Amino acid sequence: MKEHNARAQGIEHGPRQTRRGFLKTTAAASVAACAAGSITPLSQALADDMMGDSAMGTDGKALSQVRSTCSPNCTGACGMVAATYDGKVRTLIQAADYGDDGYNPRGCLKGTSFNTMMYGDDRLLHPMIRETPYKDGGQLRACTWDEALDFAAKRIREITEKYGADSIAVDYQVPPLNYINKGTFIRLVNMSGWTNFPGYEMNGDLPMFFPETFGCQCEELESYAWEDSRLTLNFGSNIMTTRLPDSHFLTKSQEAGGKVIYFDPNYTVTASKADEWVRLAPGSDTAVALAMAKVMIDEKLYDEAFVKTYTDLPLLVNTATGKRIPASAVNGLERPQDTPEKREAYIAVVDGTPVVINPTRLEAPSSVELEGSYRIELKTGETVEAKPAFQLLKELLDRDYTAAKAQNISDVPAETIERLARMTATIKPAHIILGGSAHQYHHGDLKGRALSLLAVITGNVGTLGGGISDYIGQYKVRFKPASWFMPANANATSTPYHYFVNGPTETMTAPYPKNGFHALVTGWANPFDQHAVCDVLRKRVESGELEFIMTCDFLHTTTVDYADVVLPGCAWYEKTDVCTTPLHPYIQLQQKAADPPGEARAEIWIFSELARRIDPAWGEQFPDFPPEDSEKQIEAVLAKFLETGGDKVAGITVEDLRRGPVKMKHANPEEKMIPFWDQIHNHVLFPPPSLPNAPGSTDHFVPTGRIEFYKDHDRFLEMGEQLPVWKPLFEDTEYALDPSAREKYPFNYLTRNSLYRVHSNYSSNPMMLELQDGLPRVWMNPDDAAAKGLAEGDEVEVFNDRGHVNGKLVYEPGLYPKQCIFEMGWWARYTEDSSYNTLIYPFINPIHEIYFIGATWSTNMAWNECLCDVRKAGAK
Amino acid sequence: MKLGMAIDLDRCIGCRTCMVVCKNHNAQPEGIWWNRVFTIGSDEHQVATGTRGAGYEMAFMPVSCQHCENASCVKVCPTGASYTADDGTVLVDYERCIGCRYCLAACPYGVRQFNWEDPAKTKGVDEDRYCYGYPLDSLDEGRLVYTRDRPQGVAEKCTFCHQYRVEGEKPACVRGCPANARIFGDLDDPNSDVSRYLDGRPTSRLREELGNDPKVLYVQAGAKQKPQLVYGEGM
Repeated sequence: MKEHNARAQGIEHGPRQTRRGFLKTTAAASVAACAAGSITPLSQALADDMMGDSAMGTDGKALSQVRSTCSPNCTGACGMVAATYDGKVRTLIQAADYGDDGYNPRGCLKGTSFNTMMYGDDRLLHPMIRETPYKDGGQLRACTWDEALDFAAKRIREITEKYGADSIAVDYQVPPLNYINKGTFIRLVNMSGWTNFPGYEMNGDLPMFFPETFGCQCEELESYAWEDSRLTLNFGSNIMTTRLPDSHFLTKSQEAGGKVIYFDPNYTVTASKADEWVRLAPGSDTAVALAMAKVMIDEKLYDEAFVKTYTDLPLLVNTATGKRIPASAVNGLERPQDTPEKREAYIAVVDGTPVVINPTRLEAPSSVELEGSYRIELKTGETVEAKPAFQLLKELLDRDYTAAKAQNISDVPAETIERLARMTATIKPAHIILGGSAHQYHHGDLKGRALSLLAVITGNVGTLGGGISDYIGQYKVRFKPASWFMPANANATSTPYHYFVNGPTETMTAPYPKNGFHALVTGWANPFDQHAVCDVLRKRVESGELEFIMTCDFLHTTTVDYADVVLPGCAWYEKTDVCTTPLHPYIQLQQKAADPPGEARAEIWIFSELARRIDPAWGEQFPDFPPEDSEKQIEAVLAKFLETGGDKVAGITVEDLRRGPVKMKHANPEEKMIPFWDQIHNHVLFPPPSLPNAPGSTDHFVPTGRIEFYKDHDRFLEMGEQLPVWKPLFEDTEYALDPSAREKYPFNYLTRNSLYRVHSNYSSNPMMLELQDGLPRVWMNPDDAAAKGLAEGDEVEVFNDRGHVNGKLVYEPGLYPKQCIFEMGWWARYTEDSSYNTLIYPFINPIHEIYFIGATWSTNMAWNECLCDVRKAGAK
Repeated sequence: MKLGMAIDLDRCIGCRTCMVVCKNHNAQPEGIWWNRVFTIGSDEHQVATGTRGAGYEMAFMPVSCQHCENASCVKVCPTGASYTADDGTVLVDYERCIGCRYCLAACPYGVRQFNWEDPAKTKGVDEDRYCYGYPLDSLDEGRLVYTRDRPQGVAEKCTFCHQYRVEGEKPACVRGCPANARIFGDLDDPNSDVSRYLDGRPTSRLREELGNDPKVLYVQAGAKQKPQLVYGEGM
């Protein structure tokens, strides 16, 4: 029966050889099964050792296992074991080998099915070029590497001669996903003088409240510190859907007795798991936070010593000018000679007398005044009224942010605001999380400033489990990368995408190319779907304004369809690289588990080769090697990184990393990193360094050296934002752009993150598609939808003057009214060649422009500051 | 030995990683999911039920083979293809299965699925389409209980990842759950991970009234004060 069935059904099998008996043979076979030198015996043996050794099929092929890291820019950086058989990665499973067991296992549905994308229909197998421009109907054709690279080099030289190097725009995803291969591209960009669009702003962006308040990029808690919080206030971060590998740390905090309070207009998975869900009106977070601050101040629940020592709130502000008063301007006082560069010495009042607050160290007399009004005699002979910033804050809160007023704005009952304020002031440590989606509004920075106020006046900074975090991307460079990123004679320039779309502004601090933009070179990214201005990109290619597009990727994205040169790169199980994330403390390798299919090659080779072909003189800065030696070159770059990467990676060797994840060092003696530890415990001035920028390069953002809640830059004063204030949605944006939008477009259009995609990654993953029936959806509150005559399941069109997108309508009862939600990341092929991003307008907030840092920080892209209407598809 | 699984519904966040890991490691073709995670009461995953006035609810229910002690599927199988192994797991011998589908009708949990088409063709494995599935066969006492390309016309379902258990590893869904919601082991061994986890916790089982005696136990929503889960210990 058995034999009969086996034959009839065509099954061929035999006793499978078990692992233990084949220890010796498999180590050799697994290496031999791959191209010579493609997997180092060291990494293979170690992975085998970790997983038990390899199994072998009856066909004599070995099942080998390699420890690598999933790296799609989701902040996970999850250790994975790739099982390879017959040259292909067959399965993936979490490595679960982190030293801190709380991080095990780390991964999600997307990353663990990544192998389905490595060999699918969309995999780029050959270089391609388009010799006749797109606008003239030219088509991509497969070609050799020589043809592709020579064609690319020629076109780049032509454009450089015609318009200048800075007319070539560059867009790539954040560096810490793969410091080495992407780092090669960064090295080329820094060599060439092409204009770098900060990769940060395509999917997320630096929450501007961080440089405004603390002078630095985010200093967030690594997720294992969440379990140390006794209270978590989460403002709109749907962690249980968008930070899957970290979400259990919130659960753990609850299991340990901590409380999680979730503020969101919408009932999400995270709401369902919270101890309390606070349903607040969209965009009202700032008002709620300021009303909570008022309760804390009124009831003297704030940490007075902390406020005096670390913040700018004791410093005197001239009430006539709105400016802080520098010591050098005050009669009888002088600017101390040791006042650091980019800093100013300011004054406060002690015993009724103005004194200079030490500009070199975070300290203040305990008797320094926080309240009151004072007459200060200036050197000019003039006497002016001055108040501590704290007094101005108090007056602002008294006037505009009573709990009752906040209730009117937010829909949150005043008694709830008061109760939560008392909880926040008394339960410690408390951690505040601001969702990336929540800050991606025109005035998202004001939310962050108001929430920072809560974290700071309660003294929840510099303590384990306390602080404020905004998790928006794997942006954070965690060791010094200059040894590879920066060539000798670097010629780097950068400007935000915003100016590419809108043209230069009078208030910009970034440079702008003299002849505008005429080419786009992109890698590891899909801007023709995922960027908020994807339709602008498309139109400029169609019109010929953008004369040349080059992309490097491993999948055939929408961007590939617009490219003139397509360079097929490696997926992250096909090369070695190194990566880090802000969410955990481990530096890890991506390791090569299989050779790339077809002609795909490691990017270190691609961009080294391209550099030499563009300009032989650049070749001196790039290694010359055949593609099969890519792993060797990568290892050399890695070794140099570890040698020169600074304190955080000091002492770590390549061999250590081949063995598994290695925890990076941090400043504080505790097991887990504590943000701002140096500032709070060693009284070092703010800000801490923001890699990859040089130390001190952002000092001027907080001239007091303190946590700044009062901003006296002219632009803040002009916009009435010297202190955090609530501003209503759309008034400065959609309604200002088109007053008729107030009537025409009643819904707030939100493009939230999906369970099934990371940005536009995984869009064509067959398993993710199956889970969604292959259909993009539009979510609405059932009452809103019914009022529009739309039934559940209808195909609807979401639209405004700028664009449109279609989807299947889902009634979502937990949604706050007047919202229309689409999940980002669908490639154009799934949305009838339109894009969810066509509706969005890249508004520029002039305050954000102050904080531009080349290739790093841009004015925020306010994805959610967008209005729309909805109708049945085809009902136009 | 009685292998079983606890699923903590407080910890489950409905992320469906277990579904996908299961499908990937067990080579399930399009349309077949041995393991499914539902949002209770909602056709759309992760969409709450309820109203503003009455309050909202969103709870998740992962469902796969319950590995019943008293398994309906085993009773109705005319060929002995469905059987209970010595470790208590309910398995299907693909070489004995004649595709009668009595087991699909008998299973009260609807977890058995049927390969109507040639799965290898459906998946496009080795045809430069996508590529997945543990590639080697797995045998239980000579019976073929896992093979990547199941023959057309057999019933299939969760095996608690036989192919991994024989190597001393846990099922893929347990290793894959980022929420630490799945705990696996020998229910007969008081020191196993699963027994220690379940000790003192209120649990429920699906359709208990039928008397199938499932070995998948759901830790009830609302149970707090759980002990620290140690990941990586033996079964």
